[in-house]
Amino acid sequence: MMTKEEKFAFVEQFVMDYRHVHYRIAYSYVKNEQNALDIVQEATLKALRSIQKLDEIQYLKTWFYRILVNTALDFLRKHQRVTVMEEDTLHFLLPAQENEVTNFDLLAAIDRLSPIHRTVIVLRFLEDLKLEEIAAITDTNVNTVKTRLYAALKKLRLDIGEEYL
Amino acid sequence: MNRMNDYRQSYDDIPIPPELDRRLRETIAQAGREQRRNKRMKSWLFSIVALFVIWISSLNVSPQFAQAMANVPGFQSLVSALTIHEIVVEQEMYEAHIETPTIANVTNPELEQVLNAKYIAESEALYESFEQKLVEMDDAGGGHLAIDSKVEVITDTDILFVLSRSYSEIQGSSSYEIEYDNVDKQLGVVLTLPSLFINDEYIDRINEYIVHYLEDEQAVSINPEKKPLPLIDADQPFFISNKKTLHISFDKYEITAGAYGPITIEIPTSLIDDLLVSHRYIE
Repeated sequence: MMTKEEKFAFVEQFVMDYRHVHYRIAYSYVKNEQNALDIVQEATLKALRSIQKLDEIQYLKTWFYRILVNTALDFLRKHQRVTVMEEDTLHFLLPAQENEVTNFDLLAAIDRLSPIHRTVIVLRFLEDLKLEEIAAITDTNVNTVKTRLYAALKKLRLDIGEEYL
Repeated sequence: MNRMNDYRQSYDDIPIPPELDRRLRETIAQAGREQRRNKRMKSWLFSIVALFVIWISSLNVSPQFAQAMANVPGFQSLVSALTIHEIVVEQEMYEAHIETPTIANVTNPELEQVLNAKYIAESEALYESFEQKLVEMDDAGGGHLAIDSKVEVITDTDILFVLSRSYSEIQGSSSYEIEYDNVDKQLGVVLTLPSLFINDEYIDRINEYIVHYLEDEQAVSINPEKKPLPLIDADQPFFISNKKTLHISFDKYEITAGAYGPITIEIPTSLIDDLLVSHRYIE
């Protein structure tokens, strides 16, 4: 069992070492530098404040991701209207190009997913996490994660075409 | 899944702002400060609880210990009958001085216990409210708070022992309260105001005197929100001085404007002489 000071030092090391990973996850939700910075900062503060809730240091990653994802989802919930408006504007300004499917389309398609579906896609394909880990992070079970993952993939296929996924 | 891999590449290419490093260091420093502060509070609380337990159990076990404590620095003893335990907290934004008296060598051990238990309960309640206020203050984004409780021996004669406990709190505005216990050392009883008199007439007589007193004293004006009568209750706080005279005490705001603070008025013995049960305490 680690003391609170040791845990604090450990978490401190972790958030500094993997700050770029955490930043990209946050960025994948908000697509905006300042908001992503705010989310990583808030999640880090929450984690360090509730360090006594981290029972086993081996679950540090899962535990921190859960805080990070929840902070990002909270942020989206609070800024829902703003986000929707931005997306609408984006659509208006950048009509879908029919002939050339680019990374941008996939990126945009992932952005069009609900935050819950986006979470499973990002954690599964971009962060290479196991289904079990995703279940722990999102506070559900493996079956729910699978269901969400398939639903998300199906939406993406419908959106940008089967052959690209 | 090729597209996904391409997308992953673009995900990995998301630029990391240099500001991230600085923001995280700030956050870690902030959380570290909070943690150290919490730890200080906790260890401090623990030592108080430990001190209380050791100290109270020792006093209960051995009156000799209570006597010996009188000679230990910090456990100031004012008279043989009293030991005071003082708790001091001083931080940048808040401070507390809490004194808890323990009396000994009063003829009646039961009375001793009742009074001492009351004093401890008061100090504990005071400390809890202090802690509660700190939490509220922290939630509200900080502030200043000072509480001060003082124990004083007002009178110590062969017969009488009078102890006052005053409590003040400063947080924006200030408040001040004072209480007295008048103990007959020989009989081992606590005196009440009505017990000194043969009937209720003392209330009217003292009231009348106080109204005149306040009118005569140009310096003291009656609190406009507080109507002059009835000024005192049957069990108004009071004490009997070394000179065997009766003093009636009023909290801040009770009868005068707040700026005058708490006041105490000496009642001439001639005024109440015929109403006294005996001249044992008042002459």
